[in-house]
Amino acid sequence: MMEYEFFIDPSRCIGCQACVQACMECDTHRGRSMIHLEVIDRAASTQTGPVVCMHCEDPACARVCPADAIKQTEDGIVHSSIKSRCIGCSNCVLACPFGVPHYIAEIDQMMKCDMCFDRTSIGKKPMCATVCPSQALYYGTAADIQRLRPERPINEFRFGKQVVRTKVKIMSSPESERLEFDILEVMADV
Amino acid sequence: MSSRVDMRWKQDFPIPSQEDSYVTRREFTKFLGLTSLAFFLGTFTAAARKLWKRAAGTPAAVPVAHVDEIPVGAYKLFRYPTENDPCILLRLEQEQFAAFSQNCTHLACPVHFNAATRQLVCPCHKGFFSAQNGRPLSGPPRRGLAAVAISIRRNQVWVELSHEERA
Repeated sequence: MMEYEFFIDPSRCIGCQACVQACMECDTHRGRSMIHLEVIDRAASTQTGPVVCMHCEDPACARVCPADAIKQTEDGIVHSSIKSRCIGCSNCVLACPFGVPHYIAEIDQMMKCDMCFDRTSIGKKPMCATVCPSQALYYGTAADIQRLRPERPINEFRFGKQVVRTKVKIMSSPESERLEFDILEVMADV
Repeated sequence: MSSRVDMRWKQDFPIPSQEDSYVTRREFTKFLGLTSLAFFLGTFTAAARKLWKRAAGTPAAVPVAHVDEIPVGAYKLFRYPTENDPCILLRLEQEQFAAFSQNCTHLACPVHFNAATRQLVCPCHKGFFSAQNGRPLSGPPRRGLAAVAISIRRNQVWVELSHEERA
């Protein structure tokens, strides 16, 4: 059986918020979306980008958790915090290089995208990928994406000297092998 | 040195969930050992306290009420043998008195006397005891109320620990 993978292509995002609404429908966190729909540069462009958990191979959120509340299952999915353990310190929110975890003050707990574990574990697609009209969020096999898209799936990110490898892949130019970010440069621009 | 400490820290708090829920044989044995030790200490303490009480001697009989003080069907609360042991004295008939510990044998709520039904009632979980002999009638309690022995001397009701209590 071919392994299904999650691919994100932010350049395809049309900002329709369908993924956000679909995520809210999920029974495990009903009424609350685990997806951020980021506006890239509101003044200059209408471009948006969906942010789901990238499911790092070595998750920074779990590493910094002082309460041992974030766990990664065998299939590489990094789960929401365990409710009985999470102390709501927001260390994970600050540590995540992709800005994924949400701290929810009303329940004093962190929640994050778990790639619809309840669905993907029984062979269904994540909610967001099923509704995305432009397939900016795509769930399928590596062979399929290679056949359908000219871009190259990348799951290696470099933040300064730190290399982060993820389960979720981002579609980028065929020439690039990894995506590099200079945080200081980005902060200077802001 | 610091890297070795780091490694140990990681072993104690693993990120993969299957390692987090894994119980080693050593941990399980430790759990069994410590639990057994806790049970042993608890039993030992209880036994030691009982022996200590017995060694301290039985408390003397004390008068708790005048016979005329309590009408038939009424009751009087008193504490015996210490201030922490609430008891209830009942006058069931003209010549019949009974006294029990007021602690319900289920979860130690104080029992109340219902003269109409001649029962002692625990309001917490609806436990009922016979006012004649303290035996449980219905509800959660399974053991009878601890009886306090009564004697009437010179128009006074005297109480002392019954033989079962003393043992």
